[in-house]
Amino acid sequence: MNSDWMAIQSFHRSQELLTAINELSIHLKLEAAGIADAQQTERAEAGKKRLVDFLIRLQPLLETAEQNDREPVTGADARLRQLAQRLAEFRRVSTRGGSPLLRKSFGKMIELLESEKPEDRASLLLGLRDLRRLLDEHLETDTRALVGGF
Amino acid sequence: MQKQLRTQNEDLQRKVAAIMQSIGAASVPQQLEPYRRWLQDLVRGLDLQIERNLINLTRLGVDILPEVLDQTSIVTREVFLLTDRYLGPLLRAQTTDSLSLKLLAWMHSEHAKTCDLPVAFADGSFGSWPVESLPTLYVIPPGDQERLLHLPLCFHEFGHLLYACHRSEMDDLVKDLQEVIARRLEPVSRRDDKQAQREQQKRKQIAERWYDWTQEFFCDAVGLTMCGPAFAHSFSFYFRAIGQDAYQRSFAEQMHSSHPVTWLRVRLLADRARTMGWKDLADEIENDWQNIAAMLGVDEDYFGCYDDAFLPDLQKTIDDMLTESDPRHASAAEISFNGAINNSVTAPAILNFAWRMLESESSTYAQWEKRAVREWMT
Repeated sequence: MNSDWMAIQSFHRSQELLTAINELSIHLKLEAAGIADAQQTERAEAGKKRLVDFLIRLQPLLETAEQNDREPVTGADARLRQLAQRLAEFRRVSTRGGSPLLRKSFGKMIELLESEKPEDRASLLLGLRDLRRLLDEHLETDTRALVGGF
Repeated sequence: MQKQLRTQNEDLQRKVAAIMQSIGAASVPQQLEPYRRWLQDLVRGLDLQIERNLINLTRLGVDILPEVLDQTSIVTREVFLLTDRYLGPLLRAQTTDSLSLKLLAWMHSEHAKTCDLPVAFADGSFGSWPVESLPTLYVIPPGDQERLLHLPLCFHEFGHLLYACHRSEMDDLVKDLQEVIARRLEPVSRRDDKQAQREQQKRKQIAERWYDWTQEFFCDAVGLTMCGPAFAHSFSFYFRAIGQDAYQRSFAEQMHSSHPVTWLRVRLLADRARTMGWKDLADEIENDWQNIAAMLGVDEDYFGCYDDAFLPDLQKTIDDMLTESDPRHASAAEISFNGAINNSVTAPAILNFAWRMLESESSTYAQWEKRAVREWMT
């Protein structure tokens, strides 16, 4: 019996999260430029909810990965554990100029997503950019597993 | 960059239009019509995303090119996946797909969370792509698609779908079990030297690996619950002669595998079969594996990855997962069915009948199976 099920679930999770990041990011940039787009706003709201749910799910895994590499990360599949470990590593080696995703408490990123303040927009965009980079890298493994290398 | 992205998206647009045409033109068995409709919706969704990308490329003065590039990559990967995996089962459909499709459609129809999810299957070793919001793509070896004996293994794959449909609750149950296992692996006294650190890392690896393994044990239990003894016969028969790897793996090999050692899965299946009142079946499959292991000169050893002390907690967790996901139970009448076969006989009934026929009259089994399949499909 093959184990593609793990790769396909991880692939879809990452694709959905990347779509959510992009929709929200486009919305924030259009909003900053004063361009109104009701459908884009709707997609951004759905994306924001998807991201908040995911970050809440990821938070305890990240905390375990950051606090103590001797304790097992439990209740998550191998690909989600790897994502948490990769994010922990990114945060460990990031320079002071990194985004809130990398340099502040992880909860800050969730706060920014839920914030309606225009002054939080720039920080949130930086956080979304770093999350997109992380997920793009993470997704490569699943894409290779499912459709092979190019 | 803007021009490159425009060309890229226009090409994607032509590609999805061609795919849409192929999907519409395919001649398929009736059972694949829901799958065809889903594929058409998916392609329409991709087309809309490409349209949005093209619109976003016309927005001047706002720097959204990184987002449009990423959205273009997302669509490109979806198209790769579509052409590589999802289209084949529709475009290459044959009339001989009907038996497997009937079984898969029946499985899905028997659960509230899966009855609206279309099914399809591709060629390959048994597997599945279970995502709760998408049709389930099963993988069935070509040699087993038109025969009854190993179709019970599809019930294991259905277990993965049930897990995905109840993920949050299932993950919580598995997490609790992983923590119990991690505690059981702890030594009585702790040192703090290099060797102790290595041992600690091994315990961490084992506890983490049990996430995937618990799901596999759960899927085996779903197979036994839904299909009855036919599942245990099929599982044991299919894997027992594969070779030594099914009986024993080194610690490192186990840590690299998302599946537990197959012999251990047989042990757990037998244990569960006994609790379901099928003692003879349990003894039979355990003896078969024990005899082959003895011939191969392999001892039962999981190198610290499993201990009998885990069993009560493990089976309790699987019981709780079954309660949560609520798969259909094969009835006593289905398990002992030996009546006339017709279109309305259930899948567990015909599959259990097949295994009893094989065991009682193996020399005439092939003829019986051919007739049984024909009568079930009419």
